[in-house]
Amino acid sequence: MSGTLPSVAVTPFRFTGRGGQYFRIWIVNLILTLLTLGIYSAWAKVRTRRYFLGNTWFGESSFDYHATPLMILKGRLIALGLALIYVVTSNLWPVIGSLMLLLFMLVMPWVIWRSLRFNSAMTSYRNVRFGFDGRLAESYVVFLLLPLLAVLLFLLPFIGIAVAAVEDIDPDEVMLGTMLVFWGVATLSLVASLAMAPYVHKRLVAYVLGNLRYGQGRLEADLKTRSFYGIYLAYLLWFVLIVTVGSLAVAGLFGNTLVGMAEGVNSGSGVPAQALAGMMLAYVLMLLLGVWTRAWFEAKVRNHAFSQLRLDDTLQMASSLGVGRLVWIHASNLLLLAFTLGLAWPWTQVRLSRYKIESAAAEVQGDLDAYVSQQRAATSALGEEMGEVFDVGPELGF
Amino acid sequence: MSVPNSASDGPAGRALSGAWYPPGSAARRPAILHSNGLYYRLEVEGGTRREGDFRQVQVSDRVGDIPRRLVLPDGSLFETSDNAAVDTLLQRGSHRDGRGGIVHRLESRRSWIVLALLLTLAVAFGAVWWGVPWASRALAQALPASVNQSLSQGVLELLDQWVFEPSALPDARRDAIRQRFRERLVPADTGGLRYRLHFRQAGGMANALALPSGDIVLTDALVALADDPAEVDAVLLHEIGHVVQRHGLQSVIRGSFISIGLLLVVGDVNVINSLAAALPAFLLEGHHSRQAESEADDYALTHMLKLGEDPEAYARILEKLEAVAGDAAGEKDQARLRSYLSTHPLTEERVAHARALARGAQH
Repeated sequence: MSGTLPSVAVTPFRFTGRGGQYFRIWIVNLILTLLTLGIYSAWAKVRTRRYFLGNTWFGESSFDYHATPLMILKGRLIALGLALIYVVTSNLWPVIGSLMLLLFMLVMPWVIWRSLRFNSAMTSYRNVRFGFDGRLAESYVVFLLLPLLAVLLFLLPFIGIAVAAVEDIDPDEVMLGTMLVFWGVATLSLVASLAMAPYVHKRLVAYVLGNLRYGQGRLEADLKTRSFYGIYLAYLLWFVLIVTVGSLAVAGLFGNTLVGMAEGVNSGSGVPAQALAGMMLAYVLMLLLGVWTRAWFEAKVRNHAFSQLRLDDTLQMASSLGVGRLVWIHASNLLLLAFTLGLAWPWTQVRLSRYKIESAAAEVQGDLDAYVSQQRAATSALGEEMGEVFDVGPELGF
Repeated sequence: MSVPNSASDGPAGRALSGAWYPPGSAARRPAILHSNGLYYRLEVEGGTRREGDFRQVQVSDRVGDIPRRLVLPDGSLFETSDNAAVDTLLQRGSHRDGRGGIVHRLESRRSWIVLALLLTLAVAFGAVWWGVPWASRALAQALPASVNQSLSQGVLELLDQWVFEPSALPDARRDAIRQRFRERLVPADTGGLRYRLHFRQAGGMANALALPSGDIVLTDALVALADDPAEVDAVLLHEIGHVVQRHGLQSVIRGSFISIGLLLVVGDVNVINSLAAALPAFLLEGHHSRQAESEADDYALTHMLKLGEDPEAYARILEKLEAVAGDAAGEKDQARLRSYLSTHPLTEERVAHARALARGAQH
């Protein structure tokens, strides 16, 4: 990109967090949170975030996080109250529960937008705060309108079938032409829905990264729709290959006993041991498939997004994550968690962060000295905390 | 605690190297801060000098070994990785920001870490093993009966549509069972619930089930298995036991607790985490389900004794049910393994329990 400027330096990101050290912070956070019935969790969160950002270095400086626990506590209490109300009502009165879910869905883009603004404003590097300039209206397009459209397109054929069933239309009486048109439209609608995914994903990443600010400087994310389609298409091919090989393996090894198991369950007599082994193998393969899917998008999307991410004419980002390496880290992390009853959590987080952060680098082409923090409006933590408890934080896929 | 040094020491106590930034600016300059905890003097490379009262400086809390931020009264920032020196200065000057160091001191002591670890494990185990079941039980009994109604809304209709067929039992047989059900078995204090008995067929399966609302379903195959009315009573009392003890509602409340807890602990619910968490949650629910079955057994046996019926009838019908189910799968040696995965306790144990009671009743 800057072949004409031979003097620019590529600076790697470094991560200096250590598993043992984070374990001490984590376990103290946990016990104080338990002893204070959850109130300390706001302080715990600030310490955790400061630990990870403070150990992320670029050049001679590290990042930092400035939110005060009280800001977060307030939001957290409201969010927890809402979550409790929702869980109880949705279990007891499903109709009211679904209405609440609908309401949450309508509020969600606002929540995400608030949390993006809050978190970026609370993060600093070299004494300068980040910021987020994304428009609220675009948040609604990216987090509600586009996903909703994709889901509707996906459901359209099924709605058609349901309507035909309710109207009591006999398929034999429908003219062949009408039938063909129906199936044609249905297929088109399904394909269009699936084909939207890479585009929606691209819009999402572009919204979150491309509206970031560093001081007065703007981060630009010139993401390529074509690259996202490439990532998804390659994923699809690999997916088909892996699932075919995996199910052939399970069927070949345990096919007969699986049939036996189905009969056993029907007669209420329970499950024979070989079928259990087959089920366990299928479970492990599903887990691995999930791990690989996550690693694939994490690596491919992050690498592409960073390659297109720059700060004015000052800095060009880069990332070189490997899918295989990420699969290994995620899979071994899962094993570590399983065999330590979750106590290995701090080590797994440090390992993952180290690999992801140290795979990133930036070419410094200008002077960072000129950046200055911008005046910002006070933001409460409510939006951010709702994002946390309900996991609506933008799932960027990396 | 050390006594603050006197002012005459001068700002020569410690020299911390780091970097200085003008207010709000990224212009980084190497700098050295001299301080004794009371006064400070900052020397920035290139000549700028600042000095003043160290206690007017805002110092960020210590977290691990991440750099400390020292915000000077003019809003400019001194950043240093010399955490040990900053801690010493805070202590020497009895600085108000030194109080934030308590958490870091907890994190640094091995004995505190071990204590925190043991306490966390104990609390987590206690909450999952005793706390959640206890709270679910208390809540299930405290909630109004209407909650049980709405929980069962539409379930029987759904089962009728997909699983059940109408019963083919002769009317006389049904009426006889219904009469015993109404007159002998339904508890005097219904707790606001309406107990109703339904007869159905389920593809020849011998089974009975209870909805939280008090609707109890009996299959024709089960009625056919029973040789005398006491055996049917035994099964119905077991199902009534589930309703009286509100097992359905308890399970729903437990599920809510576990999902909220998981949400708070993991903080991020994705496909992988859900899959990984599914197995332990499944095994745990199996345990509670077996416990609920034992409680329903106890309820049935106690009430049979009260009604003057022989608990032996309960043992007989259980054995017949096991025999019907066992024909298809057989293989008793796998029973042990199955018991961990099953929703019901081992039949042998349940039968033995009933027989022990039956013998006790005779003496």
